[in-house]
Amino acid sequence: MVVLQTQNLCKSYGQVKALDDVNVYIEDAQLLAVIGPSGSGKTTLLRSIAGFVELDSGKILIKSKDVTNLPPEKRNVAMFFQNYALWPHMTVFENVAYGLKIRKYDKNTIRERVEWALDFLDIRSLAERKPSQLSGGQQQRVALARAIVIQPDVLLLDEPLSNLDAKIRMRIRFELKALQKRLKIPTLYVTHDQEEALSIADKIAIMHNGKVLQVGTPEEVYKNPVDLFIADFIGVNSVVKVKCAGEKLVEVGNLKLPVQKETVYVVIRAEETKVLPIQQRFDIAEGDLRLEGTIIGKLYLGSKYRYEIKIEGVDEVLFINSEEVYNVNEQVQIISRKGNFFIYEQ
Amino acid sequence: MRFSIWRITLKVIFVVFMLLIMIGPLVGIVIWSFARVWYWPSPIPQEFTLRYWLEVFRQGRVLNSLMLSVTIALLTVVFSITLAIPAAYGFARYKLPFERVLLLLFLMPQTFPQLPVFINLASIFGRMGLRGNIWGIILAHTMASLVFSLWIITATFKSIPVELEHVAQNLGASRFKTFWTVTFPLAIPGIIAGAIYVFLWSMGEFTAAFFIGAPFIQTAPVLMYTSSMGYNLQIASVIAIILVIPSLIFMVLIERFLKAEYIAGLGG
Repeated sequence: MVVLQTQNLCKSYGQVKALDDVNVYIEDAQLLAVIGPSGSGKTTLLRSIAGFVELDSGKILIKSKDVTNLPPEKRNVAMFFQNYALWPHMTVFENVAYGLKIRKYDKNTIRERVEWALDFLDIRSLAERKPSQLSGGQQQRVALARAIVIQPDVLLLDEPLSNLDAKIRMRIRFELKALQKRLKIPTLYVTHDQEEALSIADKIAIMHNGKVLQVGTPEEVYKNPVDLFIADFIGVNSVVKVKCAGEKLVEVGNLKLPVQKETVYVVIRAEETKVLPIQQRFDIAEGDLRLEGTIIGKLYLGSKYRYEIKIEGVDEVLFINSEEVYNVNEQVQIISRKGNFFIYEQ
Repeated sequence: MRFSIWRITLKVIFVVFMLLIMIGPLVGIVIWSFARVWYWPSPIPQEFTLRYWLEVFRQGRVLNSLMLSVTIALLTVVFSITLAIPAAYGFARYKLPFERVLLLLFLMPQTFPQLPVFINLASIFGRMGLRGNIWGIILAHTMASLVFSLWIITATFKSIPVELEHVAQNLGASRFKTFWTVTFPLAIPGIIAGAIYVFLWSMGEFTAAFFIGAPFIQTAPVLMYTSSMGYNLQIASVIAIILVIPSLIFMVLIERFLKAEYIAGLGG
C-alpha cells in the first residue's frame, strides 16, 4: 500500500526551481532515500512533506488523505532534524514525552511509551539527563526516540548521519536500517552521501535542480543509470569527454561509437576497472572498453593506489583505483568490463 | 624577568585605574554621607557624624519615596516586558516591512535630549489628567523603556534556533503551545536581562519623574536632586546609597535565577 505520495510538487524561490514537478511515493515499511548534491531540492521536498514549505502547486497524500493544506502539527509525520534540535531546557525523558503530552495521553501511557522508545534505542539510562550532557551519538538517539515515539505515519530523516564522525557513521548505518525494518515505519531519508543511500535504502530517488531524475532500487540506479548526471553522481567514477567535430563515429580506445550530438561522455566506475601493464595480453570480450595511457600521478590510499592516467588519443585524464603498483610515466592499459562503464551523448 | 615585572606593574596600574573609575565615586558618596566638615585638601572629612543618616530615617519621606520608586519600577517592568514579548517575537520571527525603521522608532525617546521630550510629554499628560500621579510616570517609563526590553528580547528570540520550534510543531503542537512550551522557557534569561535593565533604568530615572510627577510625587531620584540642590550634599549621598539597595537586591535575586537557566541553555 502506498503510504506517502507526492503529486507534481512545484516550488520556486525567485528564479530558482527548488521542486520541479516532483512525484515520489513510499510504500509500507519502505525506506526511500532522496539523494542529490546540495541545492538539488531534496531538503525542500522533505520540508514540504513536513508542512514547513508552502508549495506553488501539487498535492501531498498521506494514507490517501490530502494533507497539502494542513499545518505541520496536523500531519502526523515525524521529522528528524539534521542538528537534532533537542530542547535544552528539558530532560531526555521530557524531550521524548513531548509529542505524547501534546496528544493528551494519560501519564501511565506516556511513561510506558517513552520507556519503550528509550529501550528501543538503548538510552533508558540517560532519561534524566539534559541534552547538553550527551554526546553527539546519544543526542542523535534521543532525537530518533522523540520522532518514533508518536508512531508517525511517515518518518522524515534529514541527513541523520552527517553530524557523526566517519567511523560511527558506518556502524549507525546498519543500526538505522535494522531499526527501520523492525519498526516498519515508511521512511523518507534525505542525504547527499550516495554511498550511504546505496547501503541503506530500499529505493533511491536522485534529484538534480529540483527534478527527480530516476527512481529505482540501489542496484538499478547503480547498474542502469539513465543519464550522465546519475552515472557520475553514484559510485566513484572518472569521466572521459570526447568532442567530435561533425563525425559519425568516434573512437574511444577500442570502441567505435556512433554519434549524433556534439560530445560523448564515457563514465567509468573507478573501483571496477583493471589497470594492467601495457604489454600484458588480455582477452577482451565484445563490448568491453580498453584504453591506453600513461601514469602521471599516484596517491597511496592504504589498501590500494589511486592513479592519475593520461589517456592516449583523447585529451583526458582518468582517476582509477588499483591494487597493482606502477611508477609514474609507466605505460598502462585500462580495461573496463561491459556494464562497468556508461556512454552518453550531449 | 624585567619584561614580566613591567607587565605586572602595568596590570596593577590598569586594575587600580579601573577600580578608581568604577568605585571611586561610590566611595566618595559613602564618605560624604558621614561627613560633617570636609574641605580641601584633606583626603578624609575633618569631622564625622551620623546625623544625616538619622535625619533621613526619622523623616520617613526618604523611605516613602524609595517605596514609590520601587513600585513604579516594578510596574514599569511588568508593562514594558508584557508589551515587548509579543512585539519582539514578531520582529524576530516574521519578515515585517520596515523592520529596521520600526525598531529605530522605539529608540526615538532615548535619542533626543531627555528634557524636551519629557517636558512635552508632561504637558500632554497634563491635559489627560496623568500629571501628578504615579500612573503618568509609569506610562512615561514604559514608553521610554520599551527600547531596552524590545531590543534585548528581540535579540534573545533571534538567538533561539527556529528548528526548536519546528520540532514542536512537527510533533503536534500548535503555534501558541509551541511558544509557551519551547520559545518562552528558552527566552527567560534574555527576558530577565531585559527586566533588570528596565528596573534599574526606571529606579534611577529623574527627568520624567520630575516633570510628570511634580508637584505631588517625589521619587527617590527626585528627592535626591532636590536635597542636593538645597546644598544638602550629605542627605543626597545618604539617599543615593539607599537607592542602590533595592537595585542590588533585585540583581542578586535575578542573577541566582538566571544562572541555572543559562546552564540549561548552554547545550544546544
